[in-house]
Formats: sequence, structure tokens, C-alpha cells
Amino acid sequence: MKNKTKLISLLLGFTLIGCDLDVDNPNSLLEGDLQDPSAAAALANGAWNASLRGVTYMMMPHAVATDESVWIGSRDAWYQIDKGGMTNVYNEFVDQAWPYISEARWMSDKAVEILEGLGADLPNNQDLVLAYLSGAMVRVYIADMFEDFVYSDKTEAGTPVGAANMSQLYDEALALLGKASSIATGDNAVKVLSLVARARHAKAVWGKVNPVNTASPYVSAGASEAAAAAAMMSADWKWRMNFSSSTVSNYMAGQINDRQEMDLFQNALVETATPGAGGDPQPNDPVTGLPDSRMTAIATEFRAGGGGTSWTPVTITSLREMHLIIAESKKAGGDDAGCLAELNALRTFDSLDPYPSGTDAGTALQHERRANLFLQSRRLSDMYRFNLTSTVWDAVEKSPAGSFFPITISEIRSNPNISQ
Amino acid sequence: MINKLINNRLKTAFLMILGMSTFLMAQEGSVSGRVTDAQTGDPLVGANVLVVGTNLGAATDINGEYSISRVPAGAQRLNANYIGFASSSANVDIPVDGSTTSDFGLSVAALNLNEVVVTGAGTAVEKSKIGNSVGVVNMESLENAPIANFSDILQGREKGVVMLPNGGLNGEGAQIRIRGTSTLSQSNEPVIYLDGVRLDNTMGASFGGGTPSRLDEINPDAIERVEILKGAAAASLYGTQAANGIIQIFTKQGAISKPQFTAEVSTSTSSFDESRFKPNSGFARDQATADRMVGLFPDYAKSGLKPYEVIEVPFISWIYDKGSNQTVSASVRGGAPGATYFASLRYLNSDGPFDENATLLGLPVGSADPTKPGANDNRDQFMMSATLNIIPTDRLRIRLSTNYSQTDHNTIQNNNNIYGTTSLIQMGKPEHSTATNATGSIAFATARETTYRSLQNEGENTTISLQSSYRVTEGLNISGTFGLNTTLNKFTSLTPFGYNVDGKVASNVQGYLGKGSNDKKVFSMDVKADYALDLGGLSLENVAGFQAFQTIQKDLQGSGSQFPGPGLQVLGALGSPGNPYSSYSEVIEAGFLAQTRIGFSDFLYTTVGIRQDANSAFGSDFSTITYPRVNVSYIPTTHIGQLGPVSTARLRFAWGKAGQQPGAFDQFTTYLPWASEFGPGLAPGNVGDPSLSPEISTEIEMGGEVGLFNDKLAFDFQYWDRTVDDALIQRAYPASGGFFRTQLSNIGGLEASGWEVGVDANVIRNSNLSVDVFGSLSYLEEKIVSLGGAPEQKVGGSYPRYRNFLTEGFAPGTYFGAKLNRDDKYPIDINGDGKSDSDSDLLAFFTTGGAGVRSGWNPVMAIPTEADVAAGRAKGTGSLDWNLGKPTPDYTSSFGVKVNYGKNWSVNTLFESRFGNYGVTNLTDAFRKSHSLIGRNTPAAADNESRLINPANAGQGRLDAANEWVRTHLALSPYSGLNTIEDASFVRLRELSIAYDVDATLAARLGLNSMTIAVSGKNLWMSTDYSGIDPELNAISGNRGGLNGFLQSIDAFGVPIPRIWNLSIKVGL
Repeated sequence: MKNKTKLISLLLGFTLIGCDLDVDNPNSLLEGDLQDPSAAAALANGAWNASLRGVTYMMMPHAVATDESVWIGSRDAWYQIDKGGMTNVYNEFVDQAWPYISEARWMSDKAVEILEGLGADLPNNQDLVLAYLSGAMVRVYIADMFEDFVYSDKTEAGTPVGAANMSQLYDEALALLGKASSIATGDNAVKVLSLVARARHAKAVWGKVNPVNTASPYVSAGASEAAAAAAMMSADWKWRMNFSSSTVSNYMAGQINDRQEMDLFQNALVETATPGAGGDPQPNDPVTGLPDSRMTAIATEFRAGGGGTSWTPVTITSLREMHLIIAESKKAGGDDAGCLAELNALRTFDSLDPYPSGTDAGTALQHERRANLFLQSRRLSDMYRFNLTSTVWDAVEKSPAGSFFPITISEIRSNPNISQ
Repeated sequence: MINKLINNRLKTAFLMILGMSTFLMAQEGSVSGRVTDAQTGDPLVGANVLVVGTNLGAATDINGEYSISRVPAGAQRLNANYIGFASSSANVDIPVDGSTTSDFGLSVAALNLNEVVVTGAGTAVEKSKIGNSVGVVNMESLENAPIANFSDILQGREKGVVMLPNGGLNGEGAQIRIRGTSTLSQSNEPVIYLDGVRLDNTMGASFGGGTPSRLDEINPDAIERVEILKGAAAASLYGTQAANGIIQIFTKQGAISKPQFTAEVSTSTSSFDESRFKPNSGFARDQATADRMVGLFPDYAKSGLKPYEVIEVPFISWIYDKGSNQTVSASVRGGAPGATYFASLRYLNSDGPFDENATLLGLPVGSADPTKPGANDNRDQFMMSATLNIIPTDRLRIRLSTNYSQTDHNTIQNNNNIYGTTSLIQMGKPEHSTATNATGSIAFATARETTYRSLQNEGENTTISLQSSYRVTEGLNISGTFGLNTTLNKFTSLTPFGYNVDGKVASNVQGYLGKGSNDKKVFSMDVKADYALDLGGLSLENVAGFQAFQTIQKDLQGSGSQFPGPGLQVLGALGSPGNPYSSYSEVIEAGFLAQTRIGFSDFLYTTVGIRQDANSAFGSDFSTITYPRVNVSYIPTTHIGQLGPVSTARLRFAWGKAGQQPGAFDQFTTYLPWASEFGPGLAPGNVGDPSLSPEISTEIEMGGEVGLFNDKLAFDFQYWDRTVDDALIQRAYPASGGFFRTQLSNIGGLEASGWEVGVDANVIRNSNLSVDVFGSLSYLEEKIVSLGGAPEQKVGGSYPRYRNFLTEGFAPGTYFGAKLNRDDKYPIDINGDGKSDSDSDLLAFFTTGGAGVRSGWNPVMAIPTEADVAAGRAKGTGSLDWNLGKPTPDYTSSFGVKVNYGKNWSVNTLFESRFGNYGVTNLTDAFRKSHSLIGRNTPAAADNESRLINPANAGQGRLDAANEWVRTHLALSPYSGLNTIEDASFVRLRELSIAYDVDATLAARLGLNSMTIAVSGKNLWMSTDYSGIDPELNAISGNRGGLNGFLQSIDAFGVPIPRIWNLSIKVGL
């Protein structure tokens, strides 16, 4: 009996010992960890990564909607965009990009907020510059591509900016860049100034496509900043988003090079199979009469994929664009000769013959923008303001000129401040 | 911390149990007897006699005799059972060091309330005493059925239990649903136990091919029976995680006898019904293309083929033939007083229907190319099981069981995947075919190139269970189960260097390698004490105990691309390695349970129980949660006697609660690591919800059983109703807030109800012929009551072709999408105003233009009205808001017949059917009918498009073709759901087996105790109006929980469930 009692006691004791239910989570950081100054660089880097992903997810539908890229694959929602249909809130590819571009905006602002809050404890203020650049860059792309946008914060739903107010994103970008310029050093200072030029120019272009003004499509904004930036730049300077197998992939490059869902220019196989659906042919250089060598070079580099298929770098700002902004400013100011001279200076980059005198400066500017800014998501606004069309656009499917991508269904469903 | 705690407990318990035998005195005796057919007096061979509440038992020999020794002395209850007969129980008094006899005469019966069950009951108990239903699948009854894996055991056996295969590729696993959906965010899979030890029931890694299931790594030869609890009313004692039901597998045990060997060899063939694949069809637009098509396909294109003439080429038949499978298994059982054993070995080699020697217009597929590794669909599996029962004293029982399996699973890429071989072939068009692009791929790759992309899963699955029971004193027992299930799943996706053999594919032409492993360990501990008290007309059975489970999962993955040259297959050789990935999760669950069962006489039983649970997933602020249960069983025929033809009647009622828990770290706001070009980075993860708690499922079940004509005809029925409160919803907050991942919160509500009826009948029973028929019908109705203010959720993310939604007021997974405005004569718009245009305008337009699908014209969609919304025909007034049906059938049914002729022949059939408001997304044909680049290649679609384009058809002919197009073939975005979701009701002959038991004397001449030859088949026939590949396909793949767990009833480039013919020879030695 004594043994039995001992046994029962052992078993009861064994089962009644309290459990410690705390478990470790080595997979992620928690909110409180972000306030540690040692996390500052990671926050800024994360904001930059998010911006790269968000922007390239939007660059693809933007390119398909223009004459730069054509759909040749299986995912049929590209069809509508390819045909010029921009406004479908259900379109899966815009809806797929929405969370990423939204994350980029939020993460950049979060990084700015925390890094600014660290004050003197911030280990490296160039991390804050990176956060400012991320926030400004992503705003410029958003304002360039979207009809409307929303800022929310975690679970707190925001209200839409409003289509009429989208140019305020350029102002916000410029405000961030203003802060950045006071602390940016080295190449960061060039990046900041070049983005200021681009943002000012883009804001002015936005004014030309909201509503569309084909009668007076040229703008002069950003020229002085472009000139100042150009003065700081080395030969054929480019600020680029860089991608790799171990960091972030370029979604657009992946879709075109790896999956082959889209192609650049006209795809011969599809054009043969379905005449009219194969895309816009590569344009010729107006001077040489041959396929434009700048676009060929960009396409070749793009298809090289950055050493793979999905890591092609994307140019954010460049010396070429600074020249284009300056040239456009002259055209807008009525200085056609000055415009052509600026464009001819740009053509020397590629050893191309200059435009003959008497060339229409507007036509030349339009082509130089198309050739030098190929695959940089500048095209749709240019097509609208210069009254250009794509061979693939369909009369019934095409959205009205001036249409940009909408706030998509996933945001509409989850945000009570938006009604469809 | 807890790991050490549990490990220490396991060690302590094990040592304790071993130590017991050294100081406990033996008080035991034996019992023997004979089991016979009560009608004929014939001995029943292989009947089981069990000592209730112990692990003791024996099977009858050829004379129907049994003997059980080392039975604890004193009052014991014996239970004798035999398939097709009513179990019988008897009380015996076992003398110390003596023996007693107890004979049983069993009656043929279709109803067996004396069957002993264990799962969810607290202790072993007859079914008649518990008020909830318990499904039981006895493997004895499936002796000759074509069982290849655990999924086959469950398929169609139990009312309310549905298997959802992903597809028909060799070794593709199935998911299990019991009574539909009980959670909107967590896994809907039941919890599986093997000999009391919880199992990992996840799926293997997929990478876009056939996904294997961990459950198919359980040795089917070692299974004795399976018990199934269908919901909270029955499973409350399992607490959190039990809301989806419980499946407990019991493995075979030894018997006191000399070694009894069995061996079985089987061979089978598997093949797809290729008639389910529509031939690839197309037409040329010019004579040169037509001439090329004739040259490539002389068997299908007549000489002189003209533009716009449609040809049909069955590309799919080029890569599939008959698969072959061989299984060898052997087992031994035996024992002596004090120790019995059972051991089983099984080896399976299976080569699926993919023809690794196929050629496409003369060019070999990857596996036939000696220069590079290619894909195949083969599966090798080795399984080993062993059980040892030790009875060191009359009071102590120890059972040690182990199960081990090793699986090597190789498959081709498939399903909704642009590199899927079958998928790409179905996207091909004859007019795009060339000598090096035989199946006419216009995009991505050639079909041949995809056959180089191989997928491999290697799985090791080990379960160790130590079960012990100690009889402290008369009526008081302490029992414990301690065990571990460990699974190691290693997976590889290999694309060899230079696989672009046709110059078409651009993705990773220098090769790609992905390797990973999932290492999961589940520790189980279950300690209970039970005490039974008999007070004459009143009996009490009490049980109290403690359970703890610790689940640790470690995942590891690496991948990259660009091998420097051919032949390399290691990560270190990659020129562009990706980010390595690893993760760790740990969940600890612990709970107390207590239950009492009060029996009044032998006709009324009431059970009251409670489970108190704690769980690491709820955070340190969360204390415990309570899951109560009550059930009542009343047997009027025992109480007041037989009621006319009603020989047995029982009524039952059960109510109970059970839970579902979120993931280990779902409560936290997290930021995820993310490498950047400038160094380590962070990205938003979960937005977090610190108030997370389990969702609570409350279920009521009421029903009963009726036996007529001495239980020769039996009905069982139950109605059940389930409410899920505090349902965990994957709430989507606005992505504009930075956190695009959904966050679990306890904000939802879900309701479901249904009924299940079954009938079993002994139609004929004489010495030469017996015919038993069975059938069951289940009805299911589900509704999402509330999403708690969260937005509706679209399954499949932004992918618009999957139309399943979680929407308030509708069944989970309901389809919503577009409908054509079919009321108009020509629902066609040519001016962009979204309205149908006049006949004359359309005729003029199609006379001069419109030569192609949506070429300057669009279809006109119907727009729901508020009245449609109010009537449930739509969820809103958007063009994609039409209610297009649901992926779960109202009714599931199975039925069949079992025939025994003479002493040698037996025939068994099993049919399964699903019907009633049951739709399947035929995405394969949506693409094949409608897609401008990779589709329009079914015979009808190709013919329709040719008429639309052909200049000779301009005018009314083209207008009619456009009208036919929008009504029949138009699908996909932005008209998602249109002409896509079909009624998928079907009846399928799931199993057919014909077995011949060789006469004992002949077998003896061969030196055998027994010999059975069986021919069996699976999925041999199907009747359905569904036009797609197979109505049973699902795109759920490896998902366990989450929104994509509702990718149900989606046929997306899968292959049909294969037809299998099997020949087996089984001998006893």
C-alpha cells in the first residue's frame, strides 16, 4: 500500500507541475526594437528596398499601357491594360502592385519618423538621407502613375488624397528633399538635387495631363535645378535602382525576361498569330533613319537582366534627363534653337549626328524623351500630352486620355473611407 | 524550457513505468472460449475478443477459439466483435492463478452499438454509452480493397468526411474536411493521432507540382482501425485544436500464438482517362501555315488543308501512358503470455502515367535525355511498424509502438503553373507547332523543356508511442501515453543547366536549384486516471487527466540560379544564390480534463466533461479557456423491450465546445528581415493583435440508430449544428497603412448545420451467399455570419480567375463573378457605352470589321440590382458581384454492396457521389476557350473563332459567331467567372474488388495457412455533366489554413484522378 501511495503521488505531482508557455521568436523584430539606434540603418535600407519593389511592380503595368511593352503571355488581365484600359479597379496587376507601393510609402515615412526622432543618437545621418530619398522618390512615381492615392497608418484607414490634389505628392517629395539637401553629402547630394529637378518637372507635366493639354504640352519647371545637378554629374551619370538575387528583384525585368509575359517593342510571333496584337515597333532615329540605337542599347541592357533575368537596374534620374528637362524648358519658353542645341548635346553621348537645323524642336524633344527615358515610366504622360497613340490601344477598351491607375479593389474593400 | 520539462517528464514517466514492475505483485488469471455464429453455430475465424479497458485481447483461431492469459484477476468485461456481426459483451470473474471460460454467439447485424471505442470518450467504452457519434473504419472490412495509402482508407467510408485531392498526379496528397468549414483562417484539417500520439498532418512542399501529404506516410498495413470524431460535440476533451474533429489511428497488436506470418504482393496499373482532355485544336490564317500543319500532323490534318479549317491533335496522349506500381509487404504477429508483438514491413514502388520515354515529334522528353536530369513521376516508399505489448504484472500494461516511413517522391511540374508540362501542352495550338515546339507553345517554354524541371520530396516520418496503464485498485486505473512524431521533409526543385533544348524558354537557362527542409517534432503527453463504480442500477465512470503537446518546427531553405556548367546539382555551385531562409516556431499546449459518465441501469447514460486549456500562442496575459461537454444516450429498446420490428433503437444528444488556435507569433507586431544593397533591412510583417484568443466552436448533435428485423436492417441518423464564435478572421487592413499582410483577430462568426443518414442492410445471408448493402447521405449548409467589420476576402489574392470569396451571408468560398446580359439578343457593344447595340448597327459593324474576339467590340454584362442583392443572387451591384454558386456540394453520398459467394468469393463496391448546388471552377477550359494567346484551342472555341475571323463569314455569320462567343466561350478577366463555373455533380465508382480465398486444403498443399487472390480497381467509372478534367480537382495544394485553404473545387490544369487496376496475392504462413 505504501508503494501504491508513492506511485499515485508521483503521477499527480508529475501532471500538476505548472507550464511555462513563453516561447522564443527568433524570426522577426518587434515594434519596440525599432527605436534602438542600431536599427536605424536597417529601417532606411528597408524603406529603400520597399521602394524598389513597389516602384517596379508599378512600372510594368505602366509600360504595358504605353507603346514601350506588349503583353504576350498567359495572364489575361494584362490584355485590358495593353489595350489602354487603365481604370479597372479590379485589374489584378495594379491591385497586386498596390500593397507594395503603399508599403514603400509607409515604410519610408516610418523610417523618416524614427530616424528624425533619434536626433543626435542617429549613428549615420546619410541613413536619414536614404529614407528621405525613398520617401521622395516613391511619391514622385505614385503621383506620375496613379489617379488617386491614400495614406493610412497601420490599422487606421486614411482618406484619399483626391484626384485633383495628387500634385501635392510632388510637394511632399520636394519637402523631404529639402530636408535631405541640408545633410546629404557626396553622391547623395547629386541624387537629391536631380530628384528635385525631376519632381519639379513631373509636377508641371502632371498639370499638363490633368486635364490633358495637347495644345501646350511643354513645361519649363525644374530646369534650374537640372542645370545645377548636371553641373555636379560625371559623364552620362545615372542614379539607379539596383537589384540582385539576394536583395530585391526587378519585377518588370522578371516579367519580360524570365517569365516572358511581356515583350519590348513588337513581338513577331504574336503579331503573326494575331495581327495588330504584337505591339508597337521600335521607332527609328529621326536623323539616322535606323532603329534608335539608344533604345536598342537600353533594351539590350534590360534583357541582359543585370546578370540574370530579373535584376536589370532601373534609372531614377540621369544626366540625360537633366538635359531633357533643360531642353523642354527652352522649348516651352519658345527657344526652339536652344532646345535643339540641348538635344544635340545629348545626342553626342551616343555619337549620333545632330538634328539638322530647321527640325521641329517639339518633335525632336518628343523623340529624345522617348529614346532616352525608355523604360523609366515617363512615357504615359508624354503620350497623353503629346497626343500619341499605341497600335495596340483599342477603341472600345481604351480609357480616356489623362487616365491613370486607380486606387484598387483591395484598398477599396478594406478602407471604409473609400466607396467604389 | 518546456522542451526540457516535457523531455524530463517523458524520461521520468518511462523510468517510473519500468520501475513499477519491480515492486508490484502479480494477481492474474486467464480466460478462454469460443466465438460462433449464433444462427449457424459455425465458428467465426478471426473474431476479436478484448478485455475492455486493457490492451489485452486475442483473435479466434480456425476453430473459433481464443485464449487470453495474464488477465487481471477479478471482475472484467469482455467484448467480442466480428465484422458484420453485432458485438457482444460479457462480464467474467477472473480467478487468481486460475482460468475461466466465456463463449460468445454473435448475431449477424447491421447495427453494432456494443462496438468499443476510445477516442474522445475518456476511456474505452461501448458506443451505446456515449451520446455523440463516433465513426469507425475497421481495416478488417477493407481486407481486399485497393488501399494504397491512408487517404484511401478514409475516402468514402464515413458520413461527413470528404477527401479533397489536389490532383491526380502520382502521389499527390489529399486534404480532409469533416463537416465542412469550421474555421475561416486556420487549418480545417482534423487533428490526427496515431496510438495516442499527435501527428504532423501538413503537406509536403509543392514548387508547382503534385504535393504529397504527410498522412500518406502512415503504413496502411499496420492500421487496425480508425476512429473519427466529427466536431466539438464529440471532441471537447481534446480542447484547443479539436474543432475540426479528431482522427485517431490504432495500429495492430500482437496475439498470444506462435508467429503468424502474412505476405502480400500486388501490382497495379494507373492511367488517366484521356477522353477528359479536349484535343488541341486550331486553324491556320494563311496557306503556308496550313501546309506546315499538314506536314507536322499528317494523321490529323488532311492534305489540302485550307486556312480557317480546324484540326484537332491530341497532344496530351503523347506524354502519358500506363503507370505501374508494385507493392510488397509482410507482417508477423505472435506472442506468449506476458508479451505479444506485431511487426510489418511494406515497400512501394510506383511509376505514374507520365511516360518518361515519350517523344514529341521525335524529340525525347527530359527524362529520356541522357545528357541532363529530367523529371519523372515516381514514388518509392518504405514503411516499417512494430508494436510490443508487455504485461509485466496483472496491474501494469505497457505498449510500445513505432512507425517509420521513408518516402522518395518525384514529380513533374504541373497544375496552375506556366512551366507545368500538362499545363503547357493544354495551352498549345497546332498552328504554332514546329519541329522543336511540337505542342505549339506560344509563350514561356516548349512542353519538352518543362520536362527537364524536376521536383523531389524526401520524407522521413517516425512515430514512437509508449502507452501504459496501471490498475491501482479495483475500478481505479492510471494510464499514460508519451510519444513523439518527428517528420523531416526535404524538397528539391532542380532545373538543369542548359535545359532550353528547344531555344524557347528564357527562365533560368543556366539552371536553378531550390533546396529546403521542414523539420517538425510533436511531443505528446497524456496522463489520465479513471475510476469506475457500480452501484447496482447506477454506474459511474470518471476520468481526469492532463495533456501537453509541444510542437517545434524548423524550416530551412536555399535557392539560386546560374550553374557554371552542366551536371551540377548543389547550392554551392550557383552563380547567383538567393537569400537563404530559415524559421523557427514553437507552440506549447497544455490542458486538464475531467469527465464523469453516469449510467442508469443499462439504457440511459449521461456524460459531463470539461477541458481546461492553456496555449503559448495567446501570450503571457492569457490564462486558460474552458471547453465543456454534455451528452446523453438513451436506448429505449433496452429500457422497454423490442418495439414491433424495431429490434434496437437508440437516441442520443451531445453538446460541446472545442477550439482553434492561431499561429505561434500571430499576436505580435513584427518586422521582417530583408537584405538590401546597403546592408540588412526591415519590412513590415504582422500588424499584430495582442488580444488574440482561440476561436470557439460550439456544436450540438442529436440523432440515433434504429435496427429492424433483428438488426438486419439498420439506420443511423444525426442532425448537427455548429456555431463558431470569436472566429479568427484574417482581417485585411488598408494596404495604404503599410502592413499589407492580413492580421488575425477574433472578430467573426460562422454557422453550419447538416444531417447525416446511413443505412446498412443484410439483404441475403445464408451459408452460400451473403449480400450486404450500405449507403449514406450527408447534407451540409454553411454561412459566414459575420466578418466583424473586416472587409470581405477574396481567395487567391489579386488573381482574378479564382472567384472564391469569404463574404458575410454566404457559404465560405462562394463564387462571385460576371454574368452576361443574356436577355439581349446580341449582348455586344461596339460604341463603348456598355450597352447592347441594335441589330442593324451590329450587322453593319460585323460586315466590315469585328474580325476577331473583342476586336472593336465588347460583351455586355448584366449588372445586379438591389433586388438581386436582397435575394442573395448577388453580393453587391458591381458587375463581378453575381453569386455563381459554391464549391462545396449540398450533398455527399457513398453507397455500395458487399457480396460473399460460397466460402471463396467476395465482391465489394464503393460508389461516391457529390451533388446539389455544387460548382467547380473550370479554369482549364476558361483559358482554353477564351485566352487570346494560349487558348481558343478547344475544338468548339477554335471553330467559333475561325468563323469569327474568316473573311468569308463577314456579316450575319460573323455576328452570330460573336454572339456564340460571348455566350459560350468568353471568360477570364475582366469578365472573371463568366462561362467558367460549372455544375460538377458526379457519381464515381470509387472501388471495386473481387477476391478469391483459395481453399484451405489447397493452400495447405502449398505450405500456406491461407491464400487470397484479389483484383481490384479504383476510380474506374464516373458519371458527370462536368465538361472539365475532373470535378474532384482542387487548387488547395499544400495549404493548411489561410485564405488559400479555400481554393476548393478549382480545376486548373491538373490531371484527372487516375484509374487504377490492382492484382494482389496475399498469403498466410
